[in-house]
Amino acid sequence: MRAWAAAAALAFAACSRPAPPAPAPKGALQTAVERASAAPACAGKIPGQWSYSWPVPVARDGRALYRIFFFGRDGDAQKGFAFHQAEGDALLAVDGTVLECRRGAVGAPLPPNPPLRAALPFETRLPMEGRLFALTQDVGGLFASGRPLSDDEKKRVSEYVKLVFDLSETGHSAAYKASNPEFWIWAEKNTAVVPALK
Amino acid sequence: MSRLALAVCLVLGPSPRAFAQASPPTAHQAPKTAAPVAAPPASAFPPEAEVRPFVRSYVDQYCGVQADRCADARALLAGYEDALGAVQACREKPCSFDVLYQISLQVKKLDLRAAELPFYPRYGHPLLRLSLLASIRLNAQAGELEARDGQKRSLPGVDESSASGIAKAVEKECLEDAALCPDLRTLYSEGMKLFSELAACKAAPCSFEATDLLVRRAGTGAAANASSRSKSTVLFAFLAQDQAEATRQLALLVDQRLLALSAGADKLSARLDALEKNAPDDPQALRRDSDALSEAYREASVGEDRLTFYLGYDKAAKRPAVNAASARLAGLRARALALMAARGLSLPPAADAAAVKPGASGKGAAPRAPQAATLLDARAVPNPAARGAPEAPPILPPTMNPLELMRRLASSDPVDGADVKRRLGQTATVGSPGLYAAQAYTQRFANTCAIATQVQVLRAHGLLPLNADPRAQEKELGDLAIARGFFDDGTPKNYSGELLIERGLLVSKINTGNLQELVEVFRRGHIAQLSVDGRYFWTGKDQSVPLPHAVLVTGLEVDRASGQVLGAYVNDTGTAPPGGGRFEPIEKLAKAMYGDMMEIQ
Repeated sequence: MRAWAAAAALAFAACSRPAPPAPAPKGALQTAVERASAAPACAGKIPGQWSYSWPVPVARDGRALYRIFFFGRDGDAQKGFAFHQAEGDALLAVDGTVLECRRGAVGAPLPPNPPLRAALPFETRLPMEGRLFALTQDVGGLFASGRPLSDDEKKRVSEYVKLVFDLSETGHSAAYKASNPEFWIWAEKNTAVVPALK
Repeated sequence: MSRLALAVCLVLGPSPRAFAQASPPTAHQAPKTAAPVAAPPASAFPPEAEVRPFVRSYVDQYCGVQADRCADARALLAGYEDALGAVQACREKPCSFDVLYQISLQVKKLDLRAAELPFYPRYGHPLLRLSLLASIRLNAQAGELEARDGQKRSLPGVDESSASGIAKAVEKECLEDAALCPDLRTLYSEGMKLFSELAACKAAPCSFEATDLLVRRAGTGAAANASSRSKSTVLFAFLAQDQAEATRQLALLVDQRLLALSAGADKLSARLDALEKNAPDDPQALRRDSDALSEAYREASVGEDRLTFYLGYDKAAKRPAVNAASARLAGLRARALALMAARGLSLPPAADAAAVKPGASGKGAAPRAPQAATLLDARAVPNPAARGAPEAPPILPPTMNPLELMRRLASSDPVDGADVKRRLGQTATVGSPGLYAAQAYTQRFANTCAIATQVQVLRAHGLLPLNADPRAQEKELGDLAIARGFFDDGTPKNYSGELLIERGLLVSKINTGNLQELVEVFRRGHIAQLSVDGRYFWTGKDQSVPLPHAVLVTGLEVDRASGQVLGAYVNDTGTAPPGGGRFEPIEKLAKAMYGDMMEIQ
């Protein structure tokens, strides 16, 4: 009898449950970054299963481009992964065109599980990552424009810089800086606080 | 020096002592011009004092091992020495532009002959270093002349697309950066070999395997990597030309195979029409047609994937046509299997395509898959309802605990919701999650997810033995993928499913897939391999960066009333224990998707 009651209740509840919301579509820059390793410029250079960095803005002829670096990993989902140092990089446009792609030397594994960054739960990281991609496009446009920034724009640059360093591996800081030193100098000039590169 | 020592020296390169002890120039090697010459500045490039003794020493050694061309080499050396002498004379007493022009022409003629001499990759074409010396000095003198009389004139230029022009550019870079030289010479040597092999294939079309290998050689390895190190664009342009020709030949083969597929499918369709009208048929002929179609599909599909890898999806745009051919073949296969079952027909056993065609793989090609299934054997996994296949795994562990039931009832978690609906019979399962769940296992290596998905599919289709360890099969397939160029620290997206295609399975690849496409795959009765960010599935391991991963989507759970897809059953080899038929809500799947997917028909 109890099972019948539960079943009836389940049926009612199931019918009354609203449909789940449609997932938000990915932005153009995120899609471009996800597919960069499959671009012909990266053919034979960047394995599809390498992870990629967050994009760093690059200004070229007044156009906003983005540089990412790639790195392999050791380990597995159970024991955790040890990521490598940067082992290749690519310069891409927001439309997904990869303009340059290089493979460098094999990167040494980073120390496993850096305590600061890995502490963020995945559910917390995801919205931050979405925000980071949106901000990257925004900041990339500002950097390429070369004009002085308003206070609001400076806040967005600060937010971008903070997010990049909150969401990246400690051992990759130097690679982020090397992705485009000019950008970080510009960012430092245009933000109140730039976290130290650790 | 003995003949053997000379041969060793040419292959391994001379020791510094060998240069120090180089034979003095013979009479005809000595400069013909008078001794008191104004030597070029010590900083002049290339350094004449080093180049000339080096080249003379080289010719002596060359004669030791290449006696048949010794006279040519010595004549060339003498010719260059003459030209250099003339240049030096013009330095002493300025010459007219016409004289400089004539010397340039003479050097250019010598270059053509020098580039034709058989050469040793270790050495390249050292004689062309004398040509460089002469050209640079001549251009400098022409510049001085122009500065004096104000008349702008040009000496005959180097044809940078000719063998001599490319060899000369390599020698120039070798003089500028000796450390780079071995790579550049290897590149030049490989480029020239490719050039002649491509020319032969152009005259008489080569097999698919041979052409495929040429594309790989032109596009990867030392060539691609070292070309980015060369400062000169000449060598790069030459290699790019090789690559363009190789991909052009492969694209032509893909076109031919697509045409053959179309004609073959028409023929098979007509044969099936006749079978439906109870006309007698020859099982052997059906087998032959099936084998030919299977092989044409394999070559078209693998060829197109190779082209997308090197040229990109925009330039190699035949994938939709290959997908269409695959879909048509899948339809014909279903029709043929149904007809044969209805009429009690059986086909003779499939021929092993790799075994029956010795040499089909082409010179130096990696071995094909040991077992090449044919179209009519590589059947899709049948509808579980029709075959009594196992039911889909439970979404959540079964329970009669009223508290747990109430929790699921009240939960807003989509997994709970889907579980409740399925238990109440409000959903339908599409696909074959129960059948595939048994094939799930934990992948052996960190980068073999796409190989592991194929192992599961091949086992489910009976194309790999079920009594063997899937992890050993994964290693074996991984080695094969490396040999065939389908793997490099992971499976490039272009090559997902290649091991299935090589065994005669039909797949369609969707480069810009989305949820709608995924649902369509299951509507057609097939399953999919999906590229995802593994972090979405590997809870408890909050990684800081995206983790590209491939999973097998084996079924969907659909709400019967609304038709809404609630979630998908996934075989995930990245976890231990493996996710065999694990249910994932559709929202999570959509977020995790990388965009590309593969339909396995």
